[in-house]
Amino acid sequence: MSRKPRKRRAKSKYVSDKKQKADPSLGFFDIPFEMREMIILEMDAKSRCKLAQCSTKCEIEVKRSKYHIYGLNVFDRFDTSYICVKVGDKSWHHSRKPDYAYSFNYDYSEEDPESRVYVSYCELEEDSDDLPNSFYKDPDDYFCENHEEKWTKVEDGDMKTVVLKYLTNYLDTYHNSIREFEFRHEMITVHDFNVKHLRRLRALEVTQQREDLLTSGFINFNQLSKMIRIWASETNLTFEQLCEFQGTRGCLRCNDFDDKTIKKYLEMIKRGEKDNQLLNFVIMTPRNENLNMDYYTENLKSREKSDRPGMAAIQEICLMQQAILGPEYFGFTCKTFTDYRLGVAQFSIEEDSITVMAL
Amino acid sequence: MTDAAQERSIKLLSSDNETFQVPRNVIRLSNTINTLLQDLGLDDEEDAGDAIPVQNVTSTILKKVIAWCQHHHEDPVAADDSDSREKRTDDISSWDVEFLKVDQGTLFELILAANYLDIKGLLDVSCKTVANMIKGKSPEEIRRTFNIKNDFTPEEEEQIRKENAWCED
Repeated sequence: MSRKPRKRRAKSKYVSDKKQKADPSLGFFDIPFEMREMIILEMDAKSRCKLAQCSTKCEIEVKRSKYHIYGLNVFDRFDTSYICVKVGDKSWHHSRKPDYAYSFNYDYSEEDPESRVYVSYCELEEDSDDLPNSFYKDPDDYFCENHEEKWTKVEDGDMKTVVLKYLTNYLDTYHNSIREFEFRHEMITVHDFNVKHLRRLRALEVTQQREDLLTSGFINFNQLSKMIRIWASETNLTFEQLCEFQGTRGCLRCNDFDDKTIKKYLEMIKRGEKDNQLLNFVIMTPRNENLNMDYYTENLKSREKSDRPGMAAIQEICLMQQAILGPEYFGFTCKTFTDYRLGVAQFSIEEDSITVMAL
Repeated sequence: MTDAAQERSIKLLSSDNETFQVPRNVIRLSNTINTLLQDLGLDDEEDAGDAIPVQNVTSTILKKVIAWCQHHHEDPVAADDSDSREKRTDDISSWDVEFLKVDQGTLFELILAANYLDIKGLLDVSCKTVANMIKGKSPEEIRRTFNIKNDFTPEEEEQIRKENAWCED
């Protein structure tokens, strides 16, 4: 993973008024931003929290600096590693495909988060930049099968300590929300993005939809961030519009709807784990001129008559959308789940989106 | 830079017009001065001519900066791993700790000077010192120390206090 080195110093615009002695009234905000940021980066998590409570500007700068702190210092070390984080009792397994370069588990206990954190990781073989084929076939199973045997609890020393330190900082800072931790953790993988991208992502994290998606296990923020980048470049949306557009929706990736995943999800629903919820997927139409809406709509209409389960129909639509838009990028938005029944899919065409309901 | 260039001296002129004679191999720690000399083709000149104005730095601070460079000019060059290194504030050498036992205004001016002169080591250690000054202080103490105006409404302050309640001792 390559990244653009962060520019740490800019030439100061500060102009001294030729004082013979240092000005005792010089305060934190009399030094340039880049140096304030450097200072914040040097602080421990508690100091940053204290500083954040001093003023609005402090709060903003501390929050902004977090992206640097956690966006730059961990995952460059994990190009060939997979990480597992556990805190406390709760278990949350989360697997990612190799291009995300990691996977992690973590448990969490509010009583004593720091002491319960440990990180384990699985390094790939030397000179390998990929995982075994078994991982590709079934990432979840791969991790489940290999976690206990191959992943090691973090011990003091070398890289592991560094990993522990930064991930502990994460939990120190964000221990109020496991999901937030997870989300921010994701953000690490987009460290080649600029602050604007991160702000866009930030705008998403408050939404219930995002949380729903996270808990559903389907969300893929790496892909989301890519999509945001593409939407930003392909549309004339302003940042605010993009936030508004994105802020109420989440995004999913076609590959997340492979047969096994859908089957697993449906089984989960059958077991009642998603009772009283309606899967209501809205296929976003990226405002791309190349999108053939007629073709799109006709195919969706024909799908209305299908007797396939709704999720399978959605998968078909994913593939269709992929065929239209290209092999890599397309997206969905997902509304809050309100009800659910298995059955055929129902579609409704809206002005700029197509709603697919699994009935 | 040739050996001869290493041995000669450079004159620096502070913002309050005091001239300092600095060995070339000492001031090499300043990337700003290095670049300036190279750009002007003076790096290998026997006589660099007039003093180089360091307009943003007073004589008091420049003297401190030169003293720091004097002490550290033989240090091995650190790899530029600023983004990936582990952040620590407890690795300041005892000499630097003593050197930076100055009033806050001087410390901030040293940061500004280190930034202007692009002296990475001094900038790092100065920033760490400020970070250490914040450690263990309450928000109110930080405000007082660093002249930060509290612009939160009472409601906002309460809210952010709650958000950060975990860091209360």
